[in-house]
Amino acid sequence: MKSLLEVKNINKSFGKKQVLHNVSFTINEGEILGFIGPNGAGKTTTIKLILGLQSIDSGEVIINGYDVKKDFNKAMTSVGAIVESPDLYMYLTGRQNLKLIANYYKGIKEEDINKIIKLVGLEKRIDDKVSKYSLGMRQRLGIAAALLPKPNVLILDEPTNGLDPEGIKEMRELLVKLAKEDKIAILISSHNLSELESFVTNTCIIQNGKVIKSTSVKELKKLNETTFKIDLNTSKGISKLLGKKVKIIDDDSIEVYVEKDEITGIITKLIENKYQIYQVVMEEMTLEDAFISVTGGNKID
Amino acid sequence: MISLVKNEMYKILHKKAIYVVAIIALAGALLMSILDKSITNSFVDLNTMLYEEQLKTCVDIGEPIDIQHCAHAKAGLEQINFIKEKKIVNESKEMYVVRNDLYDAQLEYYTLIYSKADESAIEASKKKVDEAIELINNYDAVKYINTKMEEAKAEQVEACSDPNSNECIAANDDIVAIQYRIDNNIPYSYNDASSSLDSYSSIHAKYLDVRDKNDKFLNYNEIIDKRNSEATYKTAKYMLDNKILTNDYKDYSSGSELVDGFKTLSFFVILIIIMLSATNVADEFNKGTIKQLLVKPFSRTKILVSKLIAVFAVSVIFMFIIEIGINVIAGLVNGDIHTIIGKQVIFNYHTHEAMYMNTIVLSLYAALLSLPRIILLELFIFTMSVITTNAAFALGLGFGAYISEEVFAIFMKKFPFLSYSPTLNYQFNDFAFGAISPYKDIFLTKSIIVSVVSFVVLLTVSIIVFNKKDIKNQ
Repeated sequence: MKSLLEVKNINKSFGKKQVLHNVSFTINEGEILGFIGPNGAGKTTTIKLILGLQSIDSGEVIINGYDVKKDFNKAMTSVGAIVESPDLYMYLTGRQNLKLIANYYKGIKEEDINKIIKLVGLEKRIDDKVSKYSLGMRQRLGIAAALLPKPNVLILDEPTNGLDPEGIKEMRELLVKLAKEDKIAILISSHNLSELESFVTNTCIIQNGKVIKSTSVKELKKLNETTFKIDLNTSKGISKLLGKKVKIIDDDSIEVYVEKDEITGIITKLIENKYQIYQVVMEEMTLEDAFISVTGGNKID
Repeated sequence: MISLVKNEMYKILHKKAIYVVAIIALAGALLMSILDKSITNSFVDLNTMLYEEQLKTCVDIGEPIDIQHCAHAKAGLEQINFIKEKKIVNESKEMYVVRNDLYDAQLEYYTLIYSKADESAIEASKKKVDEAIELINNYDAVKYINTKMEEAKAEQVEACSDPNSNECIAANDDIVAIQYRIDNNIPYSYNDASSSLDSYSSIHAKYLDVRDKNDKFLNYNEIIDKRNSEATYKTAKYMLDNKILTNDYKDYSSGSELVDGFKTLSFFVILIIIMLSATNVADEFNKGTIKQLLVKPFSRTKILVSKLIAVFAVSVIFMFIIEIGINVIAGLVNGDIHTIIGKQVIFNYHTHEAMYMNTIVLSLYAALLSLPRIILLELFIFTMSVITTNAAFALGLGFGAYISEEVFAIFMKKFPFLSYSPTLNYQFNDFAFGAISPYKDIFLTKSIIVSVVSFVVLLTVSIIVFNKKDIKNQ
């Protein structure tokens, strides 16, 4: 598989404060990378470095084989992006905004613009001024703007902001389709992990400017201990028996965090110690749980 | 690059503010023209109070303290009473006789009265006053001119015993001017053509007075005076030689105001330049749209330069819209719209000749010479806007630069380094047709160097800053 976006050991400081430490990841064609991290972790800064909006202190960003620092124009030719929020000219209509973008690239025709408008479902309001749009509509127009130059690398910073659940679902389907059919490499950052979970192929977790985990979704989930909820006659003395792996919920239920193959041992141990077990439920780990377990909560240091 | 410039112009032209300014400028011009027309600067309105006040102050304990002064005020008031009584209008031929012949006669008459002269002298003077009144009552323009011609010829005989004397030259000039009146049917009156003819000999005299003075022994103001005298005389002579003076001729017409507008630029044009330059970059930074622009496959230098070109182009377009609009409106209201497509006499200091030039061509030339001012003003504000990304700050500095054109000129004598200010050196219309700046320390070579250096420095600084700028997180 061809890697379309490579981020290699990039560092960035604002004054004395280093905000990015050796951040690296790669996105191949057809992959959707969920770029996950708590607020202030350095997601947007990373994206800005990739897009040349901020200077890179050290390290390199390669897009389509071109170094952003050295070959900016070539690197940017097939990139679509939304950074922070869709940046649109409020005093122009949706269509005028798209026309402006079309002018920057060769070979974007009127019908391409119409196709994109239809794709994001803005046909009815496209000739209204953007200042009259809702946040969700602006987000859709932003995505249309990012897709207009037919990019093979799409970078979306918190694109679901302001979208209603239906809108999120549509966007999700659209991104999956783009990745599958057009082999686009997509970088998508979000703090709303449950939205990413169902469709990203890879995740990169960043905290305090450092990548702390970069792996596929499947592996991320596998990597971690699973939660088992156990209902029993009493929870007394359980902490002593099982140690740190247990959390007392109330008098007659506990949660145990262990890897799947350990649970039989735990159950045996409970039975040997005369506890009566009524129910054991394995709780499927969400990406969010994985994220929290990896980052240790949402703290920003 | 062209697509970038096009996009930038598209964005600017879709903002309302610029049209609001243009509409205010044109509406203001319409209002001013209408007001201007309704206010007739009547001689009576302007001078009645003046003469009354003068008369009050000239009498002390019932006795005139300054005979000349009192006689002037009294004769002035008498002439105003006469104008009112006979309902003589400003532009009429009779007005000229009232304000010259009648006034002169009455001045003499009251001087004699106040100085308590002989009865017989006063009687003779009174007769002259009556003759002047008679002349007005039975006014005959041709007869009047012929009388003037006879007087001038008599003067010539007397003055030209020495043909090279200034008096002789003046007498000859007077005859030339009167002959022009006869040939071109321009009676004595207060229209601009008649006034020009009246002052012809004195303009020539002034020129002759300074013509042979060596510049080395003159100070800067005297040099300017000398050059102006030459320009004024040669222009007047050119207008006589080429029969340009007619009864319709106006010193100030919508045509000449148009040229002047392109030279000085109306405040609204400056406002548009400052507004566009201050907001163009800063707004994109503040609204975040700059990010969308910077991730496009273009270098930042190209993006900045295309913005500069777009702002400059729109400024120039609006300069034409506003300057032409204002003067076309004035021309329609004043009824001299034809002067905009007519011709004008200008003086070329290189060839020392007056020449006739098409108003449109002259306007374009003036507009061309205004471009350095537009470019440098724009580039300065643009640079400040790029550095601070604060539109209000850049706007303030822009107005500061504009005001400095006047302020620095005042303080230049005390602080000579101010003569290196770009705002004093970007006014290339001052040098049109070989003219010199009104300020001693400003001259063409220096202006070119200061302007070019400022341009290069500002452009370099703005490009470097723009290229290095990190787009901060929101």
